[in-house]
Amino acid sequence: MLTILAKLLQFLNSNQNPNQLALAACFGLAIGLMPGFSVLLILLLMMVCVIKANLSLLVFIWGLFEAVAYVADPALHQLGYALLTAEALQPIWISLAQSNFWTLTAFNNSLVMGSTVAIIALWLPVYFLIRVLIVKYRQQIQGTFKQLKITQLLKGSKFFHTYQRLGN
Amino acid sequence: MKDIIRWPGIVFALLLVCLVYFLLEPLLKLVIEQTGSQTLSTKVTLDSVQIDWSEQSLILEGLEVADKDQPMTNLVEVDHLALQIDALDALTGHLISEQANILGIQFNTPRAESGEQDSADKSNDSEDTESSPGFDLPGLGLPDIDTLVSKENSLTYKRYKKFRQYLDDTKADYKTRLAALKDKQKIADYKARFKEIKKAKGFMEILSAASKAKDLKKDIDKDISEASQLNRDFKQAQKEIKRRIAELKKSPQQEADQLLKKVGIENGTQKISQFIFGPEMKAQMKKFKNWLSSINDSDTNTNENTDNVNTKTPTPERGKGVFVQFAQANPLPLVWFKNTELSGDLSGIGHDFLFKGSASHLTDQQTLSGQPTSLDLNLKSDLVKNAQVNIVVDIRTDQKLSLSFDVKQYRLDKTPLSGNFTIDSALLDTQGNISTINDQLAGNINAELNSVSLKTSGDSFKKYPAIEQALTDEDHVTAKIELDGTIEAPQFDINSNLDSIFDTVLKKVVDAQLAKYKDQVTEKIETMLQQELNSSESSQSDLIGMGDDIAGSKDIFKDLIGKL
Repeated sequence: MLTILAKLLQFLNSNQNPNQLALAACFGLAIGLMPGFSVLLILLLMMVCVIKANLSLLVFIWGLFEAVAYVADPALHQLGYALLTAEALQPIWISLAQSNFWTLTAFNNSLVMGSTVAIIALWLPVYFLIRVLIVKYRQQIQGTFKQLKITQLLKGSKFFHTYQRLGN
Repeated sequence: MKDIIRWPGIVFALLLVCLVYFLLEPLLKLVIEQTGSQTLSTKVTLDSVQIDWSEQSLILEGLEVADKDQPMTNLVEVDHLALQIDALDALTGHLISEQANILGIQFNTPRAESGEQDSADKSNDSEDTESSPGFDLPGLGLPDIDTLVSKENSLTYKRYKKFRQYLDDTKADYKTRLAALKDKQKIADYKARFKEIKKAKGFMEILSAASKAKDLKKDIDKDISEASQLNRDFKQAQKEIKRRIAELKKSPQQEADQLLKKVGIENGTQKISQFIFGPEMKAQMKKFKNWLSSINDSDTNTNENTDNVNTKTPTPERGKGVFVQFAQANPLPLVWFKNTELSGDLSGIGHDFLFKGSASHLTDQQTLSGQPTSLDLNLKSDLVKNAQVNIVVDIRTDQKLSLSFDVKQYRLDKTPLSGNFTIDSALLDTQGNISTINDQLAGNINAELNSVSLKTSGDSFKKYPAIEQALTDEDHVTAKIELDGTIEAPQFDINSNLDSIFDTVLKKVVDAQLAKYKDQVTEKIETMLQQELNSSESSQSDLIGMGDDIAGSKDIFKDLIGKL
């Protein structure tokens, strides 16, 4: 955990592309919210392997959104169920139900549907928010943060040595 | 592109795919074993699972399904099961195969290790092993003579009672008439009148006496006439009594004939084949009924399971959600083997046959496959030259089942037919069709047994060795069986050449037996009648004794006339 946090700070302070960090956060969000029995989760994990996204940040956000998913489970179920049973959307769902691929995604599960909608809805806002926050952090907070007394104290701690070791 | 793609990640993903590829078979084996065990509530094991990606086929070797009631026995064992499957259908839980091979099917084989499951339901479904009932030979068990002949029910005794009544009435009648004729007061009156006539003196008195004498004579003539009539009537009555006694003496014979008609030969000529083949047919129909019930039950369970999925209420466990079902244009059954080659061994279920054949549209939900299931099996055994069985099950709307078979030269050894009959050896040729629609049953079976050695047992046959001999001498037996009615209460109409053989022999046996029996019955009735007639002898003697008085009654009045 300490290593992940140190890595996280290192990436925030490094010159790594903010887009990659934002993408990692989005994938972490998606994997965290998506229920385990959907094929979509496997697809997301494969994409994470292939696409350059910061894995430490992804794992951190994944853990965070696993907790969010647990808390938001009833709301996500309600949302998914409302969509799946909505009269206007029935033709779409019925046409998807004819396909084995879509059946494999378990799209007709209320939690999968609710989570998918939440992921789609949150993907872009989270992406841009994280990206903006990283840029702002590097421009405005990083310098000030280094000069704080607490930072000086931390530099002598085990955590800082871990951080340094990762940098080397 | 370089900024977006993580090349080591691609290698990792490929490694992951390779790992899955190599681990898929053991994983699938585990999934099949666990899912099968849960679904069937008994232990399901596999030796190996092979996936042929190029052929899109799945090969299961050494499939064993344990009997939950007998954990050391396999309910069914399949050596080799090869399926051509659609991978996407399989991933969505539908085992659909255009071509399947299920080879080496065996039933009730021993297991190397116990198939007991902790959660297995321990139901005590004891198999109904009702044995074929025996029977008594119809009409040959004649009733005991004392039971058959009793005073209360005897026709002869009734006739005797009538005779006795006649005798007593006649006796009383003649007694009355004789008493009236020989009335002392009347005779004294006649004598007194005669004396008075004789006393007459003088013309006028003599004239009056002549008139009185004329009246007296008229009265006495009337009595003489009455006495003559009485005598004639009495002679007639004597004749009637003799006639009635003669008739009574014939009665035991007539009564014996009538009694023997009731228990006689007509009951003995019923269809013996009904009794020979009937119990076995009933036992086979019971097995057929149980098998049919099991098919219906499994179908009902499948439908119930489907219903459960469709009617899930939206109260999910956390992290599970609810599956909403949508109508599918072409819904698929869970299992559907469109064309299947089958082979196996039926010895485990009590039939020493190997079988080979094909099945089409084996499925758990015929309503979804839209096709009836049919099986064409060729049965092989050292005991049979050729045996073909065709079964068609159609439960899409009604519960329809048809079974047809053609068996050539099936050697039967020591095969029990009923409690009293055993086929010691025979060669059976049989063809038949049996069909059921819901509960209604129809069908016909032709059976021809050649080189038959039929053994009989039981007291009935020991008593009638001629029947036993005739049946054991017969080396060719044919039977035509018509099935009708319902599965619960099947009706059999069995016609066999044994019927005529049996009837002929039985008639001879029964005729001889009945003749002897008839003599015994007649003798018994005659004895009874003789006893009764003896008891009425005094009454008869009294009546006959009245004959002298009746004959003498006329003389009294003739004497009076002579004097007059």
